[in-house]
Amino acid sequence: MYPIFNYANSYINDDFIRVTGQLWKGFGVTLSLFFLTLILAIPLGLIFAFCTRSSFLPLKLPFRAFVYVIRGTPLLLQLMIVIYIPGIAFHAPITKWSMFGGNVATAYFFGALFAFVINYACYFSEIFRGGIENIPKGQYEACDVLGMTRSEAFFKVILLQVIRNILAPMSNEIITLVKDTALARTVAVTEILFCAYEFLKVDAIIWPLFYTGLFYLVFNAVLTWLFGLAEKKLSRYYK
Amino acid sequence: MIFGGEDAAVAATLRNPKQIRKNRLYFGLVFQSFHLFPQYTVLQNLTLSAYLKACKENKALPKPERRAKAEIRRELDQQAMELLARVGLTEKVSSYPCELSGGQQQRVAIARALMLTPNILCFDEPTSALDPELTKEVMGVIRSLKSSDTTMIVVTHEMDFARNVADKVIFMAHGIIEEEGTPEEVFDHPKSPILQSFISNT
Repeated sequence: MYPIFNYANSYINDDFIRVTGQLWKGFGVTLSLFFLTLILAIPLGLIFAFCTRSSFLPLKLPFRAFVYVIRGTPLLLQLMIVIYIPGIAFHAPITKWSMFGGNVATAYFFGALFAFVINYACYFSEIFRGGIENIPKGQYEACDVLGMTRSEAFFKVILLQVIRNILAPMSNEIITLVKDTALARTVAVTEILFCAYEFLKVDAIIWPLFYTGLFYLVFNAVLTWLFGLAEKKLSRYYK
Repeated sequence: MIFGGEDAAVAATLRNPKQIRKNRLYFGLVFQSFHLFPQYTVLQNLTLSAYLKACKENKALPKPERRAKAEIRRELDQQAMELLARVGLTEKVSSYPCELSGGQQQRVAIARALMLTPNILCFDEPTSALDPELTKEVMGVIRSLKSSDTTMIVVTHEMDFARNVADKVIFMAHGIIEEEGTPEEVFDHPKSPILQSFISNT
């Protein structure tokens, strides 16, 4: 029989403390993956949004096609392509890249980060595009007749309205990102689910796997609360 | 049209975005549906573009002549308060546009256009989004501005207003000027058949 739960010790036992400590470490990796993806994908998504909205076809069409491909294929597959294709196709596995100093874990982490940033930038860009296109034309006209430049109009007038428009879809997408980081396990990034799996493989205990759910839940509760606050603050300006 | 010794509509100047922006400032425009900035208070709506403009001009000055931003802001705020008093909205200075009625929003929009002291102030059907009560309110404000030295061009369907306030009336149908003249000429002695039937219907 497999010892699914370790009844041998007392209820709060050494295992629990050991597992919690290890999962915390894993969750740290999860959080770094999450925050780095967010910080990089938002500006990149904004650039993508401007490009796909451009009236200059040689710019618009490639970006439209790229966003279409990224959104049309699984993130899991993209992760594998980023991690394995350099080694398979170019005989230059990312673990050997000098920029990672020969550190395998670092190489996998940044490989996964790259895939996440590209994937989420594409999703964000579509959200931004919708948010920008939903701004009434009159707001631009008002800025024009008041003699503002295009960048003044965007940053002083349009942007906050765009943020308000995209808040709900963005909170959705960001919460999805928290959970999507679990996919990085498949390319040996030592995030929380990876750590929990180690316990299954090495110690043959399965409960750490379910325990990880608590970490995700608590973190998402915090995010939901923050988005609620932001929404409340921005709704001040609208009936 | 000549402004500041230059023709505002010459093709060469119209290709230069900077020049277009400069020329635009000779005009103010009040929209049919106000287009106030929802995230700013009434005061900020008035001062935003004037402040940006003043800061840019300030930056272009040599360093010793530059003024503090707080000073610029104070000056503009005061100017805005004077304009708000003229349109009768002093007590709404820190309200957001969504908290105002349509008539109040349109009065704010008029004050916002006046903030940049345009030579010509254009109104694009300023009351067609308002009910008769609010229309009266906005028309009153426009009428009170008449004494100032800004030329005003008002596109309107309010015939009584046009008759009582305008110095010159132009009647247009299908994009063509049908008739123009003083209010008496146009309203009391219409010559074109379209205008005759239009007036007899109202």
